[in-house]
Amino acid sequence: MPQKSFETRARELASAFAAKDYERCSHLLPQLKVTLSQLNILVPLLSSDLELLAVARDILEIGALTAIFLRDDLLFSRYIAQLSPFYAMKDKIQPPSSNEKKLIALRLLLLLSKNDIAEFHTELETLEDEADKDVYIRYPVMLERWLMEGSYDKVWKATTQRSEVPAEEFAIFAVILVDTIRSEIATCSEKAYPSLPLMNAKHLLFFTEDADLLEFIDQRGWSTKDGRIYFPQENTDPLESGLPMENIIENTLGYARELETIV
Amino acid sequence: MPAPESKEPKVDNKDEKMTDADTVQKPKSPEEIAALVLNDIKQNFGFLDKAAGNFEPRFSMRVLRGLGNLRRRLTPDILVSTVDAAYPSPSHKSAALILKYLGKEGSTMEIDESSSDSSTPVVLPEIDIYVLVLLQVYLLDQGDLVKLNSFNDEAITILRGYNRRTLDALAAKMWFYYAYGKELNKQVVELRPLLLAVLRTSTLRHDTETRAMLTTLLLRNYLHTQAISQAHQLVLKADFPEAAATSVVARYLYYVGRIKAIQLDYSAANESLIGAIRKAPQTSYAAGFLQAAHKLKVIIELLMGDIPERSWFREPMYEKALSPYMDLVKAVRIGEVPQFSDTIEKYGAVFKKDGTYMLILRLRQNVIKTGIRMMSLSYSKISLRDICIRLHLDSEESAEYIVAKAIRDGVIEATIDHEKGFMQSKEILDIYSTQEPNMAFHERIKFCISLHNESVKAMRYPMNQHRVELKNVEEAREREKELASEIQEGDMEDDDGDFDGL
Repeated sequence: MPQKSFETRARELASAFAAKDYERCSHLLPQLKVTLSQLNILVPLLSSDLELLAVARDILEIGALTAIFLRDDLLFSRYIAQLSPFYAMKDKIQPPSSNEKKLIALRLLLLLSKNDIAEFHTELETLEDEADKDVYIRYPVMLERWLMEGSYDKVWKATTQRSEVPAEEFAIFAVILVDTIRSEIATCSEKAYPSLPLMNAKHLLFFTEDADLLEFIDQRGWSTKDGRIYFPQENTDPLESGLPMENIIENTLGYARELETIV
Repeated sequence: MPAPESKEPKVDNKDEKMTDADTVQKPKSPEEIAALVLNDIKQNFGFLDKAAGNFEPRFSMRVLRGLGNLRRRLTPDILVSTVDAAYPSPSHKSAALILKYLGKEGSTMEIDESSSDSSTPVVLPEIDIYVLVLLQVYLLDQGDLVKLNSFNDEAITILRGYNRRTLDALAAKMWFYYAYGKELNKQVVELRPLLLAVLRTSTLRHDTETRAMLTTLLLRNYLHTQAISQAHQLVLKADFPEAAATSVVARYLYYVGRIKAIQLDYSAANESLIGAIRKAPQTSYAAGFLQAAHKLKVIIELLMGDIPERSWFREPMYEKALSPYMDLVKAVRIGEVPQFSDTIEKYGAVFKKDGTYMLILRLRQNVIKTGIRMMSLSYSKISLRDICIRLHLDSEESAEYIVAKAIRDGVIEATIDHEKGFMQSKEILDIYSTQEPNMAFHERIKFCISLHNESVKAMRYPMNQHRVELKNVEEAREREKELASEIQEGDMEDDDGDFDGL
């Protein structure tokens, strides 16, 4: 009996997702997960029924995509974590999932927007070759490369122009990424330019409105004068800032202690 | 997956696989050779006896070190004679097992013993396990993987029946071949729960050798399937016994270095790798391991921004293996992206096999940074357009952003003038007036001190010396006691005499 209502509910979920009714999806999902665990297919084991596993995986994927559209990062991460044992067994579960690459790419993008580069590379190691071939996965990989190099204009183009983005889910991350880029460029500019005219600043920071630019300037604490921005200069003269006494003392005491232990 | 890790650094030269006993080119006849080998094996039995009797692991280690040599000379006949020599009857459990796998059931003398199920007390467990390991090695060299696997399963069951500390080193060896056999048979993931369970048991029993070997095997397992985060968790949670054999420690350090490199912790990875290279034996037997370790070290140094020394690449042991890496270093040093991409294209397959491909992709930004640094050092003022052209970047805008980022990362000291579109380098600061020399000296002093401390800890004293001392001390004490009592008696006598004299 629970099997039957499970199937109907699964179909209900699929139709709700196709209709982009994400609220309804998020209502249906917890119940379905409970049913999945009752049927022992929430966690795939070698002993589980393979057909049901495919269904379970599809349900979890819909869950993950819903979480993206609802902009719930934690929920998305949880679904991805639950999906990873399914993907590890991917040669056994038929049919192979079409959403797999997309979800992996989304996870990479999430890590990138949170600036969690170590985790990003760890995940990337498990992918090896596919990075170059798959259009979904190539997106966050190229983004990361450009961010690391510093070619922010390419990143800007990739995130804001619809033609570059492979799927609509990726566009949701665009906002976060643009903020990240802006703060990166701002930090770079502080060090690199002695001063900058306002027009150029607007262009560099990809702002369209002057008001946005001024707000940003206030946020970063820069000073403006005569239509130029002046960045706070750091005092780089080492002699003025004094010797780092504590460090030197600590080191020297360490040497003395070690020397004393030599018999 | 890097094949060199399968090479045992301690004893084996994998290049000399034995396919046929008759390839041993000696002027003696096969029977004489067999007799010699058998003698060696019997000698090893003697060592194992001593090891078990005196609880001295040195003898087990010695026996294991001879394993590599013996391996090349094993034949089915020698093994049968070994079984004869080791076990009192062919119906002994292990004996029967070995004969079955050699395909020689019933070809030895049939001595019918009545009690054949439990092991007779005469057979030392060490010898038992040693002969089983010999057979494992033999099957592996024959390339007979299916047989090896089923033999392994049964051999491990026998091993787990024993619980003796003197078996540690041999048990660790057996586990190694077991896991290796499974890996060759692609049954890697199923192995994990078993390895974890045995790790728990050996930790409870304070079995250092097995624990160290199992931790290393688990790490290898995880890295094989790219389960890096799990490997990382294992490194964090499971303490690695530093007292284990240096070859295992070297392997462990190598795996830790790889994990750290993937997680962008380059300085820690570098330290681990330096430790691994130092602990590995420096002979040609460890060539595979050393090559793999050096490859990884080169990449990590590049990622940290240093250029590895050219002298390494010239050593005969490394020259051929490291030649793609030398080209890579050249490309990074010059700082030109197209050349870098070409090198990657050309040697892509090699890098993927070595498992360093993903790490090398990360080098792209290093190439660009090196290029920019050279520009900044050579020109006091250079237009952004020129930078764009020389570094083969895509546009002037990109060039500007990249230079700005490089300045922020501290790669170069310069300022950009946006309106006029050029980059101007700052005056080069006199480095002696900064903290740099202080920090560099501090690093070196720290290194020397730790080296000194480790050497002190590693010092070993000859085994029975202290007993001799003790004996001396005992005698000394005896003498002192005698002296003291004599003095006492003498005193009293003298005193009496004195009193008398008074």
